[in-house]
Amino acid sequence: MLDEMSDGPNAYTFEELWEPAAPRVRAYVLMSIGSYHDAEDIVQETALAMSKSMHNYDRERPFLGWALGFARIRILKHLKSSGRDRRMVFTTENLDDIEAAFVEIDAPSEGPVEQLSYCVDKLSKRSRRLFDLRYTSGLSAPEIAAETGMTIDSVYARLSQIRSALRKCIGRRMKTEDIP
Amino acid sequence: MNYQTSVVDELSELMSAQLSGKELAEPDARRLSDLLSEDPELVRLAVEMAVAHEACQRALAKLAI
Repeated sequence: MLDEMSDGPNAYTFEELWEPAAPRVRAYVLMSIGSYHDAEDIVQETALAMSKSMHNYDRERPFLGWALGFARIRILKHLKSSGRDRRMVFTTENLDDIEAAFVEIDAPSEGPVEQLSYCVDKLSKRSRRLFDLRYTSGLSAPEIAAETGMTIDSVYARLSQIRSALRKCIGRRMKTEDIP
Repeated sequence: MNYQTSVVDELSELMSAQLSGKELAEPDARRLSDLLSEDPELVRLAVEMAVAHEACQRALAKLAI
């Protein structure tokens, strides 16, 4: 079968991978163009193109991310052919972020430790530096203040904000993954 | 992150218009793009709105059959 993955236990057919991904792809297309009927056409075109390119799919990458890349090409083509390309609401950077968010929402269930690792990676550079100084290098708040030029009070306040943001991030991801 | 309700309401309103196929006026389109550029949390909210909207549309399409 042309659209079948070739390796042993990971031998998923295109249909097996596509079926759970399709609603997310449709949501992505809807978000980009609005019309449900046009979205359905684009989703079908996306599925057809992907099934023909299945041999190029890298199983190390999320299938949904791969699918959204295919959909993006067809969205832009659709908007151009309908003369609406200048009305595209989202920038390339927006689309990158949107696709990443779709993939994140679909991420497989992980424990709190893995979630913490994910959430730490999402900290801003400045917050990440403070986090590393406190929890990787083990510096005290006064030492961090001396290192960064911040006041001790603002170090305490910022670390508190970082912990709170991490708690919320972990809670949100765990909650999302409880959804069947 | 705690967003002011007004920002979330604004995002919700713009996304509703975008998802329903209304052509957003240029300032609204720019504002929606800007909001999504501001923070990944707003992108995530917008994506969740799109996922919910798609599920509703799919359910309605099934009812129509």
